[in-house]
Amino acid sequence: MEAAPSLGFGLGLRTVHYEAVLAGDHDVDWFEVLSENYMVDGGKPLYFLDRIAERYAVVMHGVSLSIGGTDPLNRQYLGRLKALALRCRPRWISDHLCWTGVAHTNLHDLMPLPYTEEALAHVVERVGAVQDFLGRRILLENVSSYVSYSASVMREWEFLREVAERADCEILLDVNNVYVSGFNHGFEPTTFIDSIPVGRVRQIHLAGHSRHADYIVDTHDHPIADPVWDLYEAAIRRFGPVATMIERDDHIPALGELVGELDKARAIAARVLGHASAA
Amino acid sequence: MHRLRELQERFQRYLLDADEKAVDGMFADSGGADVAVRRGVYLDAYRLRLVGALKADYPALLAALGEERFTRIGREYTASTPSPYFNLRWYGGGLDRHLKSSPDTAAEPWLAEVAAFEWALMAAFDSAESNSLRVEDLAALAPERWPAMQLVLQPCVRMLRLEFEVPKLWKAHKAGEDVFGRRPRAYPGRWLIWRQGLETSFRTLEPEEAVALEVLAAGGTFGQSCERLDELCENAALHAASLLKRWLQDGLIMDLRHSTER
Repeated sequence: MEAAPSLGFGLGLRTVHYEAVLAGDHDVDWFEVLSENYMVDGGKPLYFLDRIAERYAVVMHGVSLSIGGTDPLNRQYLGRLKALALRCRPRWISDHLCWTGVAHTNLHDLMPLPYTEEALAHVVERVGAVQDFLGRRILLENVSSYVSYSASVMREWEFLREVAERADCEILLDVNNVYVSGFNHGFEPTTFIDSIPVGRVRQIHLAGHSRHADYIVDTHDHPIADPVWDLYEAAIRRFGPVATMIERDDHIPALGELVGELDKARAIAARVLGHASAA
Repeated sequence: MHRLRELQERFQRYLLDADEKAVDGMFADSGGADVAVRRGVYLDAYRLRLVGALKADYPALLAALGEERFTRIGREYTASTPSPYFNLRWYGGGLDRHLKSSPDTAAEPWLAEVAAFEWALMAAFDSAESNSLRVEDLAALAPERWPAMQLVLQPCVRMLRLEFEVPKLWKAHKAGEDVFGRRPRAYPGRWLIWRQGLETSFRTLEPEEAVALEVLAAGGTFGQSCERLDELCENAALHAASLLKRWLQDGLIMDLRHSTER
């Protein structure tokens, strides 16, 4: 894998921030856009995307690729994904290591895969087909999960590593998801981080979660929790200056508040990497 | 991928039908929370996410029904309507039909109209952009060629027939008024919904204008539109010219094509 320069520190672009993003000069290096929100024919979202993409680097992040699904790949979806990429020229395109439905149904959730050789071979083949179609590598993100399958024969980090190596794709490491799944399944989050190959991780996600009595749900509706910041520090120590962004999908605060949270990520990365402009 | 397929079909059946037997033995106990609680996270999230999408798409309907009743009807809809869409935004398009047929709401037909109206606004909001034909473009055309021209409507143009004062209530709701405390008044008529730039607009259509626009929407020519007007009113040619001017001002016409047939 060739080394690619990091994009720095970004935020997920949300509709409530469109005007604020264009009106001010914010200390945000790039924006991640939710691909499906812009797979429309016209209107306000595309209008703002065009203008924001002129001023900022953008990356595309999807939720409906269903790379682990067992329906055939949705060619219509892939066509629209490619068309959107031509329009906004993202630095990269990502989705999740999961399945989202079968029999032409979309559950609109990121369903975990069983960590089996069969699922691994299936995903690797599909990543290859998607990358061939798009003419570029994609990034796959580890999801939060709440169940473990009896059928699994390997750990999540082994599965993710094997997918990335065999399919030659990149990784979007969601540090919050590592923490959430670690809590839910009783593994040490640093074991996950330490097992992911350096050089494959192109982007890091940070987000908040909701704590219940004996499990955690990945809700993206809170500020980032302290143990997730600690894990982020461990991730930066291992992977170096990787592009980092914060996701917030509910109880979305003013842009300035998220920029403040992003500054915390900058400070951690700067401290770990030993200089002021870490990424 | 035989086993993977089977696993996914079973898990999906559990989510769509709340069929616990479908996932018997599927999950391992990894300590902490009980397996039933863990799988329940997915079941709850599935319903919450789809009903949440409906609430976001139908804010006026949510105000009309109230949180509890909307949630109940939303749950009915999600139970009967799996999503085939890769974009959650398109999921709620059948809600007006559901409201018409559900025993809970069938006796309040304005509710389906609120849904149909909000969905038409959203469809106009998301539709493709293109330049509109201007008065000057038409002025360049010799008048004798007008009857054979096809006026192509913008993709955002929607027409709705409503029996109640729904657009008025929607507007008042948007302005923060509490308008759904009483039965809406009857206000039968045709409505035009479209978008100019980033602004979505709506207005009533007089019966003649509705007929003339329907001819165009069906691919008819301006001449055919005039013929239909002639059946409905006097001075049809004058009326048609004034309608055409208004359509151009409203930005409803995308393109001009010359039909080879008269």
